[in-house]
Amino acid sequence: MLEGSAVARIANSRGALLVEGTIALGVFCTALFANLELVRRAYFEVLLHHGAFLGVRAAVLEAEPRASVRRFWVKALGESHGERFLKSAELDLIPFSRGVLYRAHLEFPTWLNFSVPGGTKHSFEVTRKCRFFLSR
Amino acid sequence: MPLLFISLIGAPLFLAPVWTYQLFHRAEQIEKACIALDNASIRLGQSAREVWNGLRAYNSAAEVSDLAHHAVHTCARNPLTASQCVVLDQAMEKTLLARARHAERIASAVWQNGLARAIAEGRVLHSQVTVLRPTMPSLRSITCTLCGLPLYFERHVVEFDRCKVQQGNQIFENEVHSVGQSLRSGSAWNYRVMEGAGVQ
Repeated sequence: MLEGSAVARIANSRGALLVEGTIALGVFCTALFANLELVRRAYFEVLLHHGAFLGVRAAVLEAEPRASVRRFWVKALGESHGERFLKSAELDLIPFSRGVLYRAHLEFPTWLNFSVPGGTKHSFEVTRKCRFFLSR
Repeated sequence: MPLLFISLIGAPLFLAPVWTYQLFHRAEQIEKACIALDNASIRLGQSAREVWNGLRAYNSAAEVSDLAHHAVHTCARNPLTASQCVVLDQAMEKTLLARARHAERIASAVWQNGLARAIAEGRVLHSQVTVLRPTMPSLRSITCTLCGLPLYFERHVVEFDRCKVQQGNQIFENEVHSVGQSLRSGSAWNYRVMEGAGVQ
């Protein structure tokens, strides 16, 4: 027969375990999510990097840069995802004195907004540029 | 539980940089292959431009010399004046024909040199660059309607030069188009590199 204090101790320890478990699960899920998000963003950086290269190459070869970048992103992400990625990214062709510069820019939303000098930060931005010099 | 935690959190944490590195590496290899391909194509285009512009310049110069020759040629064909002009006419014909053969030889040499340069340029960055181009330029002699000498050249068949590179299981291809109208007219020859169907 358990005494009242022993029952209370068991109940307390189960409650503590539940709380600890819930916190641990939350931390676990957040860490997992953060990891996967990092992987996803790294993948997007590769897409931007190679997209900028393909864009500038197409521009130099007098093809349609946006179509070239779109073809690659659709191939990498699938039709619907690729189109969405193309819509969310900004692509600019900037001519300069000795060639062309192609800029692929993407904004990631932040989970928490925070202040920085000059305003509130709502997003992280990634820009990849590729230049093609026509040296010959 | 700790093992599950480590494997689920640790695996992406440690594998993500490796995976990202491999992706970037693959993208870099493809970019390098494309640049090698473009460089080889540019060299091909440069040599084609050199050949066709050289022949165009030769045709213009030959036209001037041929005009001078026509006067002597007419004189040599006239029985009254033939004795004075026939020797000069033969000498001029020999010179003009020698110049035409020389121009053809130079064009072939520049063409073949361009082929070698294109392959060498492409292989600076990638070992698998191949160039598909005839070993000789496609030329046809045109005979002068007045004196009947094969002094001029024109392009016989318009073919595109091709460069290819294999990177992994992908094949990238460029076409080099010569841009111009005729070796007898005043338009300058240039070239344009175009992405092939296999390029991504």
